[in-house]
Amino acid sequence: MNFFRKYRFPIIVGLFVLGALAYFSFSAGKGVERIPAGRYLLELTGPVQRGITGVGDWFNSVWRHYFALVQASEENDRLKNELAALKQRTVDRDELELANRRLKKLLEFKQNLDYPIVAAEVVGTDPSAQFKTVIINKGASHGVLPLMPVVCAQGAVGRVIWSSPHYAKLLLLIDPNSGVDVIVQRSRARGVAEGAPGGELRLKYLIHTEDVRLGDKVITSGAAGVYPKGVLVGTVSAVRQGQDGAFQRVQITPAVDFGRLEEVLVLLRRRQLDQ
Amino acid sequence: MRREPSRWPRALGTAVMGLLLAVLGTTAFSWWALGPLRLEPLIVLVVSAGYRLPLVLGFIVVMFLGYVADLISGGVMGLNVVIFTVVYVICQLARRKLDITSWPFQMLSVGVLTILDHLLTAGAVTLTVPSYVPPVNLPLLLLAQGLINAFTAPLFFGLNEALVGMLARFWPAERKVTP
Repeated sequence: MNFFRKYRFPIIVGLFVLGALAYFSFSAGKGVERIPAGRYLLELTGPVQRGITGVGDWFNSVWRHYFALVQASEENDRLKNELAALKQRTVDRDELELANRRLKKLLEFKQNLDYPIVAAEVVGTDPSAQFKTVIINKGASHGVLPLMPVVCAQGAVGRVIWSSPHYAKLLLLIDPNSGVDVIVQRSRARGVAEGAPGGELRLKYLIHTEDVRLGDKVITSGAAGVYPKGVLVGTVSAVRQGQDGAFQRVQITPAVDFGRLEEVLVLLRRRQLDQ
Repeated sequence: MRREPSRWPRALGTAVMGLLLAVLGTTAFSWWALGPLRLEPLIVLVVSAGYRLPLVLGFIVVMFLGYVADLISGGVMGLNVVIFTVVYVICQLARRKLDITSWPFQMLSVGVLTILDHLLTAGAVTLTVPSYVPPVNLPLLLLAQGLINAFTAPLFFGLNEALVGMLARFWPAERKVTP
């Protein structure tokens, strides 16, 4: 008895360790189904595991759906941004294509001109409704000086009224203060085209005997020295015989769409004036 | 003033908590596994039993925990019983020689004994399965697992103590000594 008390710890430890090793030797290689107690324990733990797994799956599902929604939302934002970028790229490409077409026309137009020219972009329009002027991005440093004529692929645009080193202001044909010497291309009748309300032009000083019809093309005469001869100004859109006076009242629709004016050509022919 | 719960509520509480944590180990804890590293609450309970339960009763509880671990882990039957017994014996020896009441010491014990647990497991598997080759980074994995178990030990110690305390409150013999 004293021996057991004295060596209680090592005896018990030895017994249990040996018991564990014996169990290990006995059960090693045997399946759980061969151990009845294990079968019952699994029956006990199985439903708990299934319940926990079910709850976990539910949370997992909720979590994943939440994340899926978050990810879908993020992806939606990303795709929207991409779509907006692509739309902008499409717009840019269309712009480039349109600009290319315009510039091509300008180039063709330029090749028909015998004057040195400077291409410029319209960078500003007149803020007032009364006047029709625009600002272009070329100025005196590019040779652009007052009184120089400005044209585009469609026809005459106006003339330079002042210039700074890098910018210039144009007086458009449709401005009330603008006037250009013109001729009716078909009949060679001569007059002066001035700006009129509504963005139209008015052909002045055309006497009753002159032959003017709707649809006639009106071109610059080159007589005033600003524009070269033969630049298209517009098309006759209305003809009225004046009741009180010797002149007809002729309305011209400008060849140039001034509302969509973007690129212009400045003809560097001021010297013509001086001559 | 509250006295230490007697051995029976502690033994029962540790066994029940072991069963519960073993089930959780196969479900919830595995969802937060960091690769091969995961929470191993049973080794914490074995250490707890080794430090707090009387020798014979502790052996029974630890062997039960080993049995449960063998059942649900799907490994070699009896392996965890032997390993948990060895760990328990070491804790009982340490309990006789060292002051094991401080939590840092218990955490350190959990970490060190986790490494021993895995070394024994690897050794046993190497012996029983000749084709088994331990991973090259086994030392690193052991160290990481030891750290994880050591740092999560207070949580499982706490859970176990809560359950033991709850059982002690309803244990007939405990009602007289617990104010």
